[in-house]
Amino acid sequence: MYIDFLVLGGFNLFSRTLINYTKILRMKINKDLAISENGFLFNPATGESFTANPMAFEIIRMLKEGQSGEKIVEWVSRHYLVEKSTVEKDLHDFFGLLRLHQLSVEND
Amino acid sequence: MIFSDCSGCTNSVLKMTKPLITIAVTGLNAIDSPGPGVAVIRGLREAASFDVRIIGLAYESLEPGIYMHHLVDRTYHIPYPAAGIDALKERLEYIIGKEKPDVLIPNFDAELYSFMKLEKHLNTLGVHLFLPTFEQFEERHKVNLPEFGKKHGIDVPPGFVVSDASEIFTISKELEFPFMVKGKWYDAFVAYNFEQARTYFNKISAKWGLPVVLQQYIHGTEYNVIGLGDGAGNTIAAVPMRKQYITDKGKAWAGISVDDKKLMALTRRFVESTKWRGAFELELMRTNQGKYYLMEINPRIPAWVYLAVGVGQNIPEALTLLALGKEVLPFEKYDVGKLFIRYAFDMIVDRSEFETISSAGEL
Repeated sequence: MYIDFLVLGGFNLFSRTLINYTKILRMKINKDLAISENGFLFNPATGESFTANPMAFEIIRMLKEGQSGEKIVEWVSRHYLVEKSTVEKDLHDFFGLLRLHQLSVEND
Repeated sequence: MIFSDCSGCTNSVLKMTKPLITIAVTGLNAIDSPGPGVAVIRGLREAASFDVRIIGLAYESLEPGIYMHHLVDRTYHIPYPAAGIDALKERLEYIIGKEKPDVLIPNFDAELYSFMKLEKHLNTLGVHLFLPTFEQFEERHKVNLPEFGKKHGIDVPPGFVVSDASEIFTISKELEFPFMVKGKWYDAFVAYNFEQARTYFNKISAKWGLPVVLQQYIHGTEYNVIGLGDGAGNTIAAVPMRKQYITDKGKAWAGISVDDKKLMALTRRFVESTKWRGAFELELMRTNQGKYYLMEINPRIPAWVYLAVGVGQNIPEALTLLALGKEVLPFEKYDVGKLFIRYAFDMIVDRSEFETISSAGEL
């Protein structure tokens, strides 16, 4: 399964949305998740495996280190020269994918 | 470990020698829907506590295991269960007289009942088995699964036992389409409408007899657990696996060991509650909500047992030791994330071997 993460540089219809994503960008990655340097993820509880592209891999790695959603938004925005609001929206979608595949643990 | 004492040994080199055990094994049909025998033998050959001499027990002359001489030392034909227990008894007495096996491991659902019936008699001939009790064997049967689930607090899909095609229409109102149509021994089909259900009922009942089981189809991912209970409620071994590649016959052609605490807890509850004696396989479906439904319990070692051996739990070895009355401590861990990937290859066999097993019934 391929996690097709963030389409950067493309026109994003939701980039001007009024939703404040920063407040809902909370995510803890499943601590048992095995992450290889080549972006291969293995969930030992379900036996499912995924291939993450370089950006998804970097974000998952940051989450595993315990970095906040806000910091990740800042890093992506700075690193890829994309507006924060765009990154927030896409990151929100990405977190949804992580939840769907049970790769995350919900924050209280 | 268990066999470390060696009273007759005279020097330290001999003390290291492992005892030689003769083990008879069925299920040598390593075909596309494989019997577990060959995988069981591979586990036995890798046993740390004993060396083995393997006696294959085969129903057909083309069971591949017969010709795998690096795994099987000698093979004998045995009669199909339909021939009756007396025919099997007579044949086994002949084989025991010649080979004197210490342990016998039957690997088919359909033959288990006969071996359970013969267990005490075989014990008197010096052959040890480690099988479920009649009560365990019966209550886990597909036709009794809903009651089994209620009794032991395990989620089981709603199901009905049908002995007449005319009952299907009434029952199809109680279940939602699609539902499974299952034979009492083997085979299962997904029916999406009444017509399909009736067709599958006729097909299965013609092949496996009555009754046929109708079971609610559960959407989800298939997980299996292989395990071993000591008969006192202790789980000696348990390895869960997620099916990665499934053949058109519904068999796992590849799978990966997983670490799901919910699944392990369910397995331990099953063993503790039933006081399961022997090897087993739990077939489960995991819904997207993470809920497990027990679909079937197979009262024997499954064909993918070599994964358990490969991840650190040699179930055939542990079962053999239990059969011999040895104390076996529960395995505490296994490697997670290891895959088994099945493969097929062609053996080249001389016609004379085929002739011998076909005509003499032994090779």
